[in-house]
Amino acid sequence: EKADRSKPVNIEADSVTVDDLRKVSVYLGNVVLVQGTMTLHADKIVVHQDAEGFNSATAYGNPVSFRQKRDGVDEYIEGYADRMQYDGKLGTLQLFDNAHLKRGADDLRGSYISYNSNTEFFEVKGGNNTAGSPSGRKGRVSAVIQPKPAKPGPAAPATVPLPPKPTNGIQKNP
Amino acid sequence: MNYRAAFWFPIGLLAALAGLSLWLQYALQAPNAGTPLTRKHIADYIVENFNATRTDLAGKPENTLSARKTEHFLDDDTTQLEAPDFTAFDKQGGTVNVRSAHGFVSSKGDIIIFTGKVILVRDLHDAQGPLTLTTEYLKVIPKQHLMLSNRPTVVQGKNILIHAGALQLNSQTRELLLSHHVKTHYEPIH
Repeated sequence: EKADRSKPVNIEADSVTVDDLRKVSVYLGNVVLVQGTMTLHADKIVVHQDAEGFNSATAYGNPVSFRQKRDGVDEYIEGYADRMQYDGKLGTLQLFDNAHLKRGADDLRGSYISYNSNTEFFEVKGGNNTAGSPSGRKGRVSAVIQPKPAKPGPAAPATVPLPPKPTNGIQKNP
Repeated sequence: MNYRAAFWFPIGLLAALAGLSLWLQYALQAPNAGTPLTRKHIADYIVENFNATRTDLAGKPENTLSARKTEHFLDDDTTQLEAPDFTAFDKQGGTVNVRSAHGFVSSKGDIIIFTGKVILVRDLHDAQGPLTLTTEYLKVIPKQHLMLSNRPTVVQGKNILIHAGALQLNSQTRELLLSHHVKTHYEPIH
């Protein structure tokens, strides 16, 4: 959700090494990062801080998985990849290597997927490390976009069926 | 008769004195002097408002240690501190300061143990501001620039709060390792 960006970031792990010189914290072991509705599970997360605090995080896992609620819809987006890069300020998430994104019934695979939770815009690229696509062809992007059920709008006016055209001059009785 | 008394009296006196000093030595040294339980743990000197500075070869302060009261014990050459205050300086101009209710210095002075409301403040004089660690026990090895604790620890900084079960801090490399189930809370950026 858009509001996630203004929420605190909570991280749990077995251990963390804080390097104050480079402002980098390395979390290891069953790492869980939560920010608002977004949850990210990884084996290792490297957090970069700046003077204001949490800036960005790089997650490594086998695979890394994330889940986030979509804005205004009771639906979640899920993603899996070998590596993920999360920018806390921009609210963007990049999935690298065997990237797989599921939005409701939609299913996207590629070697790289970038997803912006503010605009809900995502971009998928093929490459060697593409998640096993259904067609099994490597290096290609695979996307399954489910048709959206037609929204039950106002009843369309009944159309009067046209009389069938006479063929060879013979008038057909309807 | 007088001659005999004059002759034996000093000898008797000497014998009595010898016996007395033997008895005194025996009384001070208990029969099994080797076991610690029976050795007397007595402070041989007490210093109020104690202050010490260790410098490097160039005379630049490496660390300082002060305490409201210091007691040194003869039997094991250790020192107990009351309200100790220890500061270590790193090469980049940062400082690590440790304060607590009680302190203990090993016989060789190579280990300092802080107990009771231990507060460690690490200030690197940068934009991020100081980092404050609180715990109940902290072992400091000045020569190795190491600070260790195996007790629950809370780390508070600007926009960050960390809970952990143990810590290891190297004041020279500025690396802080927290372990035994870490929980970190980063405040949102506005």
